[in-house]
Amino acid sequence: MSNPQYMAPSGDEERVIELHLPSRLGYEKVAMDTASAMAKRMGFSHDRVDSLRTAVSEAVTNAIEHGNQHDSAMKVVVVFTGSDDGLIVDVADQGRKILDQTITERTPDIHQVLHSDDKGGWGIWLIKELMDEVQFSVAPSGGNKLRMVIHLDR
Amino acid sequence: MAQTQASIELIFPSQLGYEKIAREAIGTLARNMGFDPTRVEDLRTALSEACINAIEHGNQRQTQRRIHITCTISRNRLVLVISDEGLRFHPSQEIETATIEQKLAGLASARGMGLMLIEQLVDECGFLPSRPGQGNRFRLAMYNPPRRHGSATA
Repeated sequence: MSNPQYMAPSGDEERVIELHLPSRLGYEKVAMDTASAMAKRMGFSHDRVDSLRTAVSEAVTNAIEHGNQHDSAMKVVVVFTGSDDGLIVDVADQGRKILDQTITERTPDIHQVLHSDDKGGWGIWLIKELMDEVQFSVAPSGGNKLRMVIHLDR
Repeated sequence: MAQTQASIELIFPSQLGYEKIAREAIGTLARNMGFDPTRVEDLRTALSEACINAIEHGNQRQTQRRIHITCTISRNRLVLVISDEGLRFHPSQEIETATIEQKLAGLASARGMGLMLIEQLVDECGFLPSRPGQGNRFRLAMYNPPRRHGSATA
């Protein structure tokens, strides 16, 4: 988030993996294992791979539950782009429901969350805690897109 | 995870090593479908072999060329179609003319060993008919419970 230049897609097309998943809970595991296989290959530490797995799981679950409203015919598209600096993961849904941008800004209040019926709202906060850069956008076609970046320590 | 039919797509560069990422993603799917661990391993091996063929042969290791995996799953069946860009067509007739003993003795090309292995590991496999310019399309299927017929023909 702090370094917008980094967000520019690299011209290195060779290290891109694209994954299309149905919007059904359970399929986020496929994205998690794809992410960890790629991150391990790139040389990320065990802890960083775990963080990435959690962030990817939260992002894909959000896309399935909120963005695509559990409509299994709708796809979640996850694109992994590797570079020498790190790994960019884009998670896009087809936007049945557009994400309220204010959600992306707030930190959940634990007391409020414990007493509320809606236990949601932690996912985005968690992703931001775990990843080095996080960016939300709305695609021209209407879907939500979440970009997260994890840097390789050198 | 797979009450009705669903499909997943995975697209990656023609570079050796990426088949390991595909293997993780599809292995997770098969495990979640309830395939037993030995069969998940068989499927992972078969998929690796098919991807290596597509990378080395179909796409001639040109990294900018893509390998495309479509995975269709229903309650008791997992079908994978591995497609390349068909820079070279796979000499699939070779697998019928040479035995593994001939290959090991150096009397026939070592190429095609992967296909022989795949035949032993999955319930169904073979190239799909493809038009010129369409690339090679290799299909493999696994059933749960298994349907091992025709595997003795190799």
